[in-house]
Amino acid sequence: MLALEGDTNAFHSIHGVLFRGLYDYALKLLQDTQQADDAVQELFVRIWVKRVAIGPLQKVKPYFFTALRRQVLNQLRNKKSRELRIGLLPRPDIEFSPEEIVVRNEEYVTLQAKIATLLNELPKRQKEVIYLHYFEEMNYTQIAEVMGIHYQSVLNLTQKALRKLRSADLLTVLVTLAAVFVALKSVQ
Amino acid sequence: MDEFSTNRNDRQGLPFGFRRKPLDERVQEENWAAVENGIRQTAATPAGMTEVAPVRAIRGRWVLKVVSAAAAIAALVIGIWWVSTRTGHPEEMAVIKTGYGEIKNILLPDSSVVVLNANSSLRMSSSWTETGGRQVWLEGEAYFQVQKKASTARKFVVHTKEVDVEVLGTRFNVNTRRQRAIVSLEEGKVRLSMNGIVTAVMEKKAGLVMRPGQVAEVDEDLQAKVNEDKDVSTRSGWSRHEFHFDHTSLGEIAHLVQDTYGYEMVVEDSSMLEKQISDAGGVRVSDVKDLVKVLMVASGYNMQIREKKIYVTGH
Repeated sequence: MLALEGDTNAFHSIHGVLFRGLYDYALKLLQDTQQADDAVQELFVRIWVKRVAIGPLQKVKPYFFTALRRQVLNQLRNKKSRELRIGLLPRPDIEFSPEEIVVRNEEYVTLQAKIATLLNELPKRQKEVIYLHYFEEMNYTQIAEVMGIHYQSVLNLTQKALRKLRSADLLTVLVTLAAVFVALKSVQ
Repeated sequence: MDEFSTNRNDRQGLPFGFRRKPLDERVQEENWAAVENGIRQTAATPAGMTEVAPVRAIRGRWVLKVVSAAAAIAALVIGIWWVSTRTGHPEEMAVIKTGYGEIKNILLPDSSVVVLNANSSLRMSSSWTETGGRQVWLEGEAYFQVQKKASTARKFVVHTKEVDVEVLGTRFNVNTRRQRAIVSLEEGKVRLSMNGIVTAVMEKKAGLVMRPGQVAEVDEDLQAKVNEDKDVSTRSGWSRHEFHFDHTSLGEIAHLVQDTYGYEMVVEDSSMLEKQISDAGGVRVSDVKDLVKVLMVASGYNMQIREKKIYVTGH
């Protein structure tokens, strides 16, 4: 892993590949574009400063996500203790919006809103697992690392979330749609 | 490249997919530019200072945990401080705004006076008390008369997008319209700090100290230009409802009218914008109609106001 040995070009390419994911994740957690932007800047500068101490990295993506998550949670925790004094509670919580949902049939646009609502009703940790797995396309090992929990816990959280999603009647409609889609695709 | 590989094929389980909301490419570019800037700033500090203990991704000996926690807290404190001084937290802020053509006089808790020009906003912490730090955030233009305080610990700071003005007791005007900040100092001393990433954190001590009679202009790229102006007090003329034109082009006046009253100037011929206008020692006007009357006489052009537009035609 050359990137952390002092070469800003390589560091730039990491920024190029990871920026969108890190920015979106920070935005989900902080719910403020300026703060998300600042958080990613701070993360990259901080990792650069510590690059010698960090040494070669095997898993770049999980490392950056882990560091970002910790940084943001610390920030929120600190903010929370300040806001408690003036009676405001932050909600460090992932929220999905309908525009982020892709349903495989354009006619079912209203489904996006329903799915978003359904997802947002999940408990926080389940939401984060779903987000990292399906949105950031991480595998369970990576998620375990980022969230600082056991591999088995990630599996359990995912299963619980999926079970809850499937039990909603909406999902039966969706699964039918997906089946139709798959069938159409195999015909082509 | 395997560390970047994704698991696109591992999508079973959900009958729908996710996509990212569109994001302007510039966000990413500007973010990298800021990171690079930050890296350059840190390169100047000795390596031994910055290399803290490794913060391992997960699990480490407790010593490492303690050290990394300390490092994380340090980074966090700097981060929070930096974020709060740069952007502030809107939920804790008191905001005073002016509309077009409106000027407000504000008396701050420390008896400092701020005259807020039209179409501007001044934010300050609602918990600002006699004992707290004296900080305000400005968009637009304002004139400050800051009370001197014996204790240097209670500095008065005006934050704008481009520059922070740290006041050492004084009278000055700050104009942040049109993507740059112009600070005009009448009396006393102020120090400017440009608002780059990390610059604000690491080079707070540095910055530009201004003397009375100086005008500093800081543009979007945080480049500062300092000029002397023997009539520096005319820069705050607006706070006394006065306009001063000294070979000022009609184009510049059009910007002024737009920023102050929200009226757009429409000229028949773009060469008219070059027309230079001077007045003898300043004009006092109460509203945009008054100003237009003065401009008609001074320029020799005909001007008509219709629906928030000023139409300028030849003789």
